[in-house]
Amino acid sequence: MSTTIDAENAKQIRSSMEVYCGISAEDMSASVTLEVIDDGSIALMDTNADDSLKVSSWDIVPVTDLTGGGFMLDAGVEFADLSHVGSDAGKYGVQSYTGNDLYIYVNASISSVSLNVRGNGTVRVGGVGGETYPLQEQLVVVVPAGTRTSLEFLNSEPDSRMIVSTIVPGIVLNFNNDNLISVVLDLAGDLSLQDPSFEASSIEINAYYPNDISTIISTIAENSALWYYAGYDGNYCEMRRFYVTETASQDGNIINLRGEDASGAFSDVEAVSHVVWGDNVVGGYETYTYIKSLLNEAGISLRHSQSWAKQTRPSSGNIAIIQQQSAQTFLGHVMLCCRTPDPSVYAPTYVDAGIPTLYHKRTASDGTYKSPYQLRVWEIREEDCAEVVRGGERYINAVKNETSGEPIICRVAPKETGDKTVLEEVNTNAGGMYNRTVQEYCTRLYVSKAKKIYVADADRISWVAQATGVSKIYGYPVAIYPVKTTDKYSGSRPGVTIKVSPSIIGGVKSTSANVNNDLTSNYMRFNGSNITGSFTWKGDPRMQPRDTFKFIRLNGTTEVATIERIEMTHEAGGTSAVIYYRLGVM
Amino acid sequence: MPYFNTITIDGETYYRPNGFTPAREYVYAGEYVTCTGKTIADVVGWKYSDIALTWDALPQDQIDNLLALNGEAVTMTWTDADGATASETVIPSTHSLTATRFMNGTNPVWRDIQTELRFLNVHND
Repeated sequence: MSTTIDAENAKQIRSSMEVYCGISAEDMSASVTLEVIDDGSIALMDTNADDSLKVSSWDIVPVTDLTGGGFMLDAGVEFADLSHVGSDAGKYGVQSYTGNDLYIYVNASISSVSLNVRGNGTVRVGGVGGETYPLQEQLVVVVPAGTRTSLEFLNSEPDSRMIVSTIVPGIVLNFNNDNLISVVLDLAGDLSLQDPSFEASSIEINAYYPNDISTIISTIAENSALWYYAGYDGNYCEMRRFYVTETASQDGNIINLRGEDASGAFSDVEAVSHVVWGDNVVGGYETYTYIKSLLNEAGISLRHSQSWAKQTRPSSGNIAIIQQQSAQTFLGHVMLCCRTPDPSVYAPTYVDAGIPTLYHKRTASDGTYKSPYQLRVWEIREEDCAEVVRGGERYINAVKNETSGEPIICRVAPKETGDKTVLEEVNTNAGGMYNRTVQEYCTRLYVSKAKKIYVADADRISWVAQATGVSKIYGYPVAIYPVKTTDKYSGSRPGVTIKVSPSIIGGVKSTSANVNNDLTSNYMRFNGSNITGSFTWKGDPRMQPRDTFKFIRLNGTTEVATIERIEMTHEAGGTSAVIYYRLGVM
Repeated sequence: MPYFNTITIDGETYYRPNGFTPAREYVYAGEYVTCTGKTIADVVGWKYSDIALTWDALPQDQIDNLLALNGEAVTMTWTDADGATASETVIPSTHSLTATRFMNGTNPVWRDIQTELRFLNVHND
């Protein structure tokens, strides 16, 4: 019987959701040598089974992608050729006759080895008297490292075969409803109006695994891949990927795995100072490109990325300067401030939660402005929710700079007149590489006697010196014109004054034919909704933070809201979620 | 061939208890009560409901076996009215019996026996 997440969620009592998750901690640096013993018990096997039981030997070759993603510049890429006949590695594995045993010798450089095997019976390591494991499809066995050891697959069922498909070093475990105790996901986000930050999401898996591999799994490397998806046969959410953060453990027969999404890498990434264009579309484009460079530096590969044709700077105009700060602070601030009031024009957004997604504008559809990668605007009925909580924050009426006396809104203009200013003198040795952060933000940063200048941006310059002696760093310090010391809400209502540290200096509202973009706008602080809330609901594994939804209240009215955070729990076969939201479209 | 007169618990045979027709119930998870009082849950499967096995009388050898069940999980099998044999993991708990026995010649017989039983398996077919 096939059903869908939507069909089940419409019911009051729905079928138990299928949850699949696991860990892929194959140790790529380890090696394993295999010998398959054919004493007449083998019915079918790949040619050179010794090799083809390793997935790395399978004829998996990246196929060129001419649809827009381009293809990699290494020689390992092929055009899809449907008539190409590869080897049969991976086709049969090693299969015994019905009722027969299988014998494979393994010599692994590490002591944990993952087997993918089907059949009934046990696996015995090291011959008579050795450790015996009851057979299950995904099995981790412990072998003495560096020693040729026998794996005996002892068949207990006269009518079925033993089929071994892969043997790899390391730990590969797949879990499903049959052995999962609980999977708890915290898909995080921060929609606060004062000082939002970017939060990484996390997953915790508890699964039943009857063999004691507690020593082995504590060796699982940090950042090994965890994967998860849930739904119903034929209708699952997109696979979410997380990376191990804490040492895996096994207590009794229960394995505990914890991980964070790729954004966990932001804790090691700084948003460095950078000049972007300040006005209209180009400013938006360059800020979007800067966000992409942050993601690159964190090593995040985007699953979904909204493209944008390159925008070129006009000959004159204002600039804006992104100040040096943590990547999380920058992302939180840019998503709140650096956008147009109409999010279908410009609203750069990065969402992770296991599916790294980047887009620069929302889809305008019936006023709900859904993310372009959201399946549709979700609908949640209050009558299906428990513990419905609603809160109101005090309005923000004025914003000031945290550093008293400093302006909150500035205009920054390049001031490239007259001679360049000497900013600093540096004693250099020929061939040495130097980094400097100068005292002022500049355009046209330059250093004399440089063999090559790698970076010259805002207040940062990096170069390789040509000669030994004194090098001079030059530039045109930008003109920073204070515009407002206090940015005030235009209307009249009771509210508070907040103090923030601006992430970006510059970028005053400028209208153009295309877009009205203000890189330092407090528009959302003044006009974003002050109403937040949360509720317990049955859960939909496809929902992401920052998705919009229609909240159908008990009195029949419909509100549009943005999801801030989803805490989803799969436990004892059931699924439920706590959803935190802010009213309106963020 | 189905046997309607007896059930087995942990391999030992007993006379069929009085009115022995185990009921089934759904097992729910992720259950919560909404703000309108509605119960929302995921149905995981079904299991047999807890049952009290009662006998008017049992012979000595069956009582000995029954009292030896000390609360560990054992397998119970019986034949349903439709001829299908069911086999479930159960945990026997409280036993209660009338503290008299009736000697039918040389065959001791115990009266008014009751054993509480909990079914463990949840089925999702």
